[in-house]
Amino acid sequence: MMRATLVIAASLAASATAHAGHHHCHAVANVVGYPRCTRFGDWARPMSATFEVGASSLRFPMPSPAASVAAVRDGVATTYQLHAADPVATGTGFELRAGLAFSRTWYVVNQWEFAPVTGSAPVRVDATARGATTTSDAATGGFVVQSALLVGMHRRFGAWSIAAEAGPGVRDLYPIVDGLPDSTAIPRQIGYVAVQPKLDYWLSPSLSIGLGASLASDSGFGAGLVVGAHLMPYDMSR
Amino acid sequence: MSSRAAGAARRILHDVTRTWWLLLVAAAGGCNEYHAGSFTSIRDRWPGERVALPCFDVAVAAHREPGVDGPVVRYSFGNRCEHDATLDLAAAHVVARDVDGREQALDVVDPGGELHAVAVPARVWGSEQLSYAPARGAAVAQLCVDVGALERAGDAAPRWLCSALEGAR
Repeated sequence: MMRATLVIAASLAASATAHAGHHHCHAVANVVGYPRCTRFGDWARPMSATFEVGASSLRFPMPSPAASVAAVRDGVATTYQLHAADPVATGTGFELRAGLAFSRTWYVVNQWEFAPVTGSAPVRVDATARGATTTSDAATGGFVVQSALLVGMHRRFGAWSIAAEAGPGVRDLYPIVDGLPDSTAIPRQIGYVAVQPKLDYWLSPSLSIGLGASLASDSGFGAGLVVGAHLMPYDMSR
Repeated sequence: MSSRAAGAARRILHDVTRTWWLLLVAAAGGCNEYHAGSFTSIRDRWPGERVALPCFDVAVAAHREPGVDGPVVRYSFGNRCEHDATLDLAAAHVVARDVDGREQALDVVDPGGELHAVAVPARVWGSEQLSYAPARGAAVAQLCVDVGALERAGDAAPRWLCSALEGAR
């Protein structure tokens, strides 16, 4: 899924570039009514690419790093039983978005969020070795990467635009449990569907600042503030 | 996170952010938007005579084009309004003036019926070249274009722009 979204992001960038390019064709003259490489009114056909960067804050379900893991520690076979105290974590990081508007209203956007996990609760760890069990709390952290492919619709009202976006996403969690072997922290991949409203203010026809909120089907929540650059004025939106 | 995964993530992040920043800077410069009164686009400075209509800045340049029978007029235009404006290039009246000062109205050549009024989004620019039926009689020295009716919402009062026909024969 992560690779797929990378490919989509590359495709979006390629589409934006291709829009400005020309196909191989034979033109007598670039005059209406004669064979040529463009059509009348091509300059008004809506196609715009958008690139946004900013910060985002996430709150998401944090599954237990691993239910039960056996590992050898200091030459002793040990079984670790992990119990998540609070299955919710938070993280604040940065956000990247690449979008392609294919009509005056509709667009697709590939959204990436990267954040260190900062707000996860410690897990209770039962370590069993040589028949004896000790219980302790271990701090957890890690890294989260979210990628979503969203279909959106937007409408401009003067210097403001409102938008609604929805689509599937995938969240990759790379947990770290302090003081325990690496094998106790297994990366997790969680799919979700997100819905997010967005409000943009146009600083200029090519530059915007946007505030979005995201609600995910697995109870995840996110908010982001991004600065956007638009290859076509106002994304040619209505 | 394993060190290999971390390394790959860092490389992806580096490449993606570098690309994003380059595109951000390019777009933030407003390279592709029309700047009111500039009569220029990212491609070129518009040739010919200029006029400011209520929403459109228009430049008109007449010339001859190899492979094209009649005179060709290049229309360059940019919508300086913050909303859509409708442009109708077929509404332009074109008159050829020959070396003796005689005038003759010319019809636009549009065999495919391509010409139509277009709602041009805010701050968008464009250009089109239209050819006109060859004038009869003496050689054409000058072409005059009435662009007053190009903008649908305008007052349609005549606005004549005349320019020498480059490459006149």
